[in-house]
Amino acid sequence: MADEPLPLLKGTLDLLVLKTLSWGPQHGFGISQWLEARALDEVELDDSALYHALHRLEARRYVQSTWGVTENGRKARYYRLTDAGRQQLAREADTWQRYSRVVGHILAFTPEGR
Amino acid sequence: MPIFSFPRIRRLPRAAPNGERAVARRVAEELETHVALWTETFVRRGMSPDEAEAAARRRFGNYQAAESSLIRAAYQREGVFRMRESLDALISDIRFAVRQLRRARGFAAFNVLTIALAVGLTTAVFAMIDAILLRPLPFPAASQLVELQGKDSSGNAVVVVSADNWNDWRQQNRTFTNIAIHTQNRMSVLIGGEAVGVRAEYVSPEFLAVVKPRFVWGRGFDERSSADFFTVVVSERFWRSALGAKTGPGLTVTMFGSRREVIGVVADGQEYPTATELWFPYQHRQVGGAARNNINWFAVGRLRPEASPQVAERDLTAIAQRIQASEPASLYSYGVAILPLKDFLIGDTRVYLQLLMAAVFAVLLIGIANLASANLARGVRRAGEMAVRSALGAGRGRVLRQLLIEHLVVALSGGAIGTLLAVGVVRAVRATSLDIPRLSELSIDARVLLFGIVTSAIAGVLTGILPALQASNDAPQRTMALSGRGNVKGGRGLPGRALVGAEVALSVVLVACAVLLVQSLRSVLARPLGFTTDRVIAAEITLDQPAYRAPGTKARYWQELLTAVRNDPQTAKAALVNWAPLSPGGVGAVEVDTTVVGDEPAIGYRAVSEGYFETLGIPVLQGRVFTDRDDATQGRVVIIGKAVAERYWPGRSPIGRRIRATNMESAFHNGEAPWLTVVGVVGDVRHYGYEAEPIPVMYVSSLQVPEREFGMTLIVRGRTATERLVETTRRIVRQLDPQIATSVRVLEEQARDRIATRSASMNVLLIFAFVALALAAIGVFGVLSFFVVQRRREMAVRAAIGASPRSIIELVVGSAARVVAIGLVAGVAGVYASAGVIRATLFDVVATDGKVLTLTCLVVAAVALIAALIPALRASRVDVREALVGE
Repeated sequence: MADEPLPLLKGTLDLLVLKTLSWGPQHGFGISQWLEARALDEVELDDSALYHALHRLEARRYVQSTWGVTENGRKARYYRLTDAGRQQLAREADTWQRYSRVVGHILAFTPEGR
Repeated sequence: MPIFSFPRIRRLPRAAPNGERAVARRVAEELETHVALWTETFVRRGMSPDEAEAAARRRFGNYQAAESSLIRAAYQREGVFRMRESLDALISDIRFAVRQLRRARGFAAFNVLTIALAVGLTTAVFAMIDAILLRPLPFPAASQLVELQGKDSSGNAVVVVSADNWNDWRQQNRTFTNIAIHTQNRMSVLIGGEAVGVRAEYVSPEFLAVVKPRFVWGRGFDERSSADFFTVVVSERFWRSALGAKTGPGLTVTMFGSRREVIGVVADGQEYPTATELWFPYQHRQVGGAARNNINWFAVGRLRPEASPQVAERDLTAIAQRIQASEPASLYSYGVAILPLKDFLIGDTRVYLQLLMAAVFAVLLIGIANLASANLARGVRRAGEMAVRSALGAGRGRVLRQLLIEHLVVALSGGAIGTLLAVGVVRAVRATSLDIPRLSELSIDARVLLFGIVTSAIAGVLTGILPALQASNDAPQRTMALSGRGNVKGGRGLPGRALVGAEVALSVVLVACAVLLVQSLRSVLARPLGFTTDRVIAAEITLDQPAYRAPGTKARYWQELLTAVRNDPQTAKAALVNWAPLSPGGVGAVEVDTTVVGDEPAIGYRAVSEGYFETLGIPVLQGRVFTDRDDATQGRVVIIGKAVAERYWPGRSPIGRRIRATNMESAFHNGEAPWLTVVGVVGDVRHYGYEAEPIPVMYVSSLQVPEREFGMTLIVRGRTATERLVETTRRIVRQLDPQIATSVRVLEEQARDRIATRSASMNVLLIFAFVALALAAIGVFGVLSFFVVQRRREMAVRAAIGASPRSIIELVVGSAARVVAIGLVAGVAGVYASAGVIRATLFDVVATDGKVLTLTCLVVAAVALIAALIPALRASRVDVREALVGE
């Protein structure tokens, strides 16, 4: 009996997409597949949110898209990380690490003597 | 085995247009691929195809809604992208244009400077129009401010009003918040014991409340407080320079022998009338009777917000007519005329400024035409470059846009320089003391800057459009094939020639206007003033100090002054008068000892000392002049001007007849003005300058009117140059009594100041006409040079088969002659067309005067001919062999 999948925290989707693309250019399906495999079914991914995120990132010039063809001959849009996107990924990852460290530290706190 | 592998991307060619449907289609395609791939995955995991597809779509939540929202987001993105793209394209076009211009520096500089000059002049003139004609007066709700004038029996408005009339208007009107009167009073005040001359304005107490200028501190006069009648208000400039910018209740000036507290300071630029330094209040007593016709004041009023000038005029006319009915002897109560204060101040400056604006536009157009034809010629030479560009794939629209941007960059740079030039010109004009209205308000504001930008942009488009169209039009292959052979296709040169014809026409109109203005000024100056201004100065002196209160002291002062001045070796003659020529002076009604029919005009009244007519060179036509025996012990005498003699005693000698000044003298003789005996007739005087008509005037002996002794003007004719005379006069006055200050004016300058607008406009128009002619000459020269270069081979062939140099010259000049002739005819037609418009600025000459037009055409034709000869001579000297062989 798996628990209910966790909702994705707001703002983290961009970070995840950037990280995914740091391994190389990919189309939307590929990104969603990769993320799902890594998320171990614990996090539910909304594909419409994914595409909104991709468009948003492109508008901010963190990713760039070109039309290409998949191995099966389908027309697909490929996204790749730009230099600015790489820098943004480093920044956001850093912020996330610090945030989660702080939260973990507070949650792990046990008062003396218990 | 990794699920993920780097796909090999085969790029598709660049996306097609960004229309709405394309955007939607792309989003749909992307999503369809996504769904298809997940469907495959689910099928591989064991679902049925239908289940798999449904599951794939479910990943989006509500698939339709998701698709729509993604499409909407994509639209917005596209909009932003499109804007960024066009901006990037624009910047790259501008960079490209600058690079191209760098390569042709001389030509670009020529363009920039021409535009700078033309736009700069145009903007400067517009700045003047903006400040003088367009901008409202700098007071709150300035459209409510109006000037009031009474009308005489012929329905003519008279510019000055009487205090009694004003009082009735003020009390009985229903359309004004307030009405005030004011008159100028140059006088001397004592500040810390030292006499200072001031431009003072005598005002009714509500004057400052009507105008509402901004104060630095303090307030205006309160008409309900009688203490305020011994206070003054000063201007900021006067406060800083003469009063040391002090504050506090102890700040006083001494006027008319008593201390007066300064209760307010008006901010700089807010003085009304312009350049006033001090305002002091007038206390009115309604006298009635003949005093109702003492018109000595200007009247201004502030309308109620809901009242219009027309309604106010009806309101006040009704009041005036009631006055007329109850006091039939009043001369100026037949009606009231109301005009906006701004229009009153501007006066006839408006027509001159409009003329200058039209003239400078003509200069601008000629400059643009020159540049356009020069660019056309250069465009022909650049045809090769254009062909290469379009062969490399630039569409016609792109080439056109790039060329226009090139011209716009040139034009806007020229415009920026021109605007700086305009700022300089405006500052220079403001620093002069030209007698034009609202001079102190001249400045450059946002509207003028906008005008400069728009004008340069339009100039850029106009100079560039023709060559740009032509360049983008030529088919590349043909041009490239031909361009190696020195016979580049350049059309028949028709646009170039049409431009020259237009330039000639505009030059004709400008030169004609300039000549007409010169002729008008000469006619104006040829009018006899009736008195001489050569080396004559006028010094106003007021004896308001307590030392002159005792009886006889004033008379003694004037006597001593005259003696001292006459004894000085620098002076030739001197005399006194209460109101000098070329300054405001009083008029009043009279009665004569013959029966006259109808309403009589008021005639001028002047109290003069002996020697007055000799000093000013006014001819004596009959009888005698005053001597120092025409004093209080003798019977009252009067000398009249010729106009008065002819009006009342035509065909007879007026010597021995009698006249009396009912307005001017009744108040001093218990209401009964004494009869004066005519002892002489003198020539008429144009009291208000060249452009005015002589006024009928009567002269009384100053020794017989002690009531006039408190303020007189000393008239001095010198032997030497006027500057030394001014200094000498000041010195003599100071030596006689250091407590008295005087303001000295040079009569000749005053006479010129009255026609300042006319002569300044004439000078400016002459400059414009000269510039226009020069530009037109350059235009003719340029087009013909181009023509000669185009037909170089033809010239060479002609020379080879024996044509004489002279026939070649004739050929070249002849081709220009037709265009110039058409231009002359068009120009003359233009003068006829604008005759009605410029009529207001002309004097004694008609716009279509035959001599003027002939002279103009000859001048313009001569200039064009000379400009044409140079390329013609060059053509006749073409080296045959070099032209035919070399390439």
